[in-house]
Amino acid sequence: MKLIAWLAGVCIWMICGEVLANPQAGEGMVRVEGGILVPFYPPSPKEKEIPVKSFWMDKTQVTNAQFLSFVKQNPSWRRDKIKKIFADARYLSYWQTPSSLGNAKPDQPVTQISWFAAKAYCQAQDKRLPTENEWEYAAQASPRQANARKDMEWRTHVLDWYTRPAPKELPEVGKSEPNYWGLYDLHGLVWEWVLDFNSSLISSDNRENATSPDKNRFCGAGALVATEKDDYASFMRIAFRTSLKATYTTSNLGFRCAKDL
Amino acid sequence: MKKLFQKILLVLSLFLLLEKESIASSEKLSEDDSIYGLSIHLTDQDGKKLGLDVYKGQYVVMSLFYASCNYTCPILIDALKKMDAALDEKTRLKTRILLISFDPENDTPAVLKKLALQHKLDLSRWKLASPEKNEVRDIAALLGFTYRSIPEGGFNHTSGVTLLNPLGIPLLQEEGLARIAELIPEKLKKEF
Repeated sequence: MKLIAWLAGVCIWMICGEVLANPQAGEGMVRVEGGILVPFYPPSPKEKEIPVKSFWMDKTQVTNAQFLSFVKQNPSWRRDKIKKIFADARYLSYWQTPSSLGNAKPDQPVTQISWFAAKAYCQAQDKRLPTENEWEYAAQASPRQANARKDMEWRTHVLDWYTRPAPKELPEVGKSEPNYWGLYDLHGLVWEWVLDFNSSLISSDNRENATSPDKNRFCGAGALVATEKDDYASFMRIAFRTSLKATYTTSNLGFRCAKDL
Repeated sequence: MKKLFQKILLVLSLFLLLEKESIASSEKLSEDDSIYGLSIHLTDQDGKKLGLDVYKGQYVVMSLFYASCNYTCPILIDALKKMDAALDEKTRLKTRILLISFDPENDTPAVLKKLALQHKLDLSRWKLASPEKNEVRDIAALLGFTYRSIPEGGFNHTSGVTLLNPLGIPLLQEEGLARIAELIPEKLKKEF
């Protein structure tokens, strides 16, 4: 009997050990099955198809409430404590105080957030920001298809949001129809930081042009080799990311986290 | 369709109007503006562990590179040597050069040391160092570099240098290398 109890104990211990050593994605994440991303703008002739490994991604964007609890636990990221090198002056400025939301709703996506702050938040959850390739891969899914880029109706629907001015009051996260993977609001709420936002060189390749790094930075240079020239939404995302600096905070830019399997 | 495109351009131009941050414009600078607030873990050409602030107290010219790059990186080192040679004796004594690698996996102390010897760098005033792998994007973001790894190995990246004052506050951030041999000595002259 003792032996059985002991064995049962060992089993429980092993199961617990397994769970602890191999943590599943936290609540609120879904698994995105890997596959091939055909980048809208192939960064080089050898990268017309990019393999993307399976990964976890937050179902929704990080909310005001979630970010508030992060700054309460990590006061160095409060707007009155943050080092100036990590965020510009508008960082979280729409909250009533450094540690209370005021009129900002808890379930609205957090915005006016810098890349450094977004990255620190994800790290604190034992997660990371998604890469640009992961984000684009996840975001090509419509509610019914993993890759809906050829679906003109869906594309028009996405583009429609890009051309609409931002509403005065942002909707709450997770209220739209989820996409094929169960992800909400990849299009239609706010733009999102990616880990490697500062990787779009377009044609300012250091090996081509050492003296004027900004020559042909985007637009015309991109249009020559873009895979689908009428995919305006993809154009805009590239242009937007290329214009960002890690300290920028704007009212239409938030983030969500990802994690390796 | 034309209307739609105009709308897109309008939205786009709004994004591009994001405020530009200004660099070290004399008013109200404090340690808070110092890039030494970024905690990263460097290992130099001698295997020594350092913080980003290894040269705190001196003027520092900082840039990013990787050793196996045989196009821009020699240009960077040459440009920095020219810049260094253009400093007067007194300024040179107070100026240091720190080059940080994009490629910590390959840029081991031995590789960095070899490069330093090859270019006859004065290691009493120059350092080549690698951060931890997951810290590269932070330092690149801070110094305003854009980079990506490429499938055939190596990186595509922008080039430029940042000049820091003794506290680690940027005095000048220059994209491109063509003018640094004039700009940096000029800027430093005003500091002494």
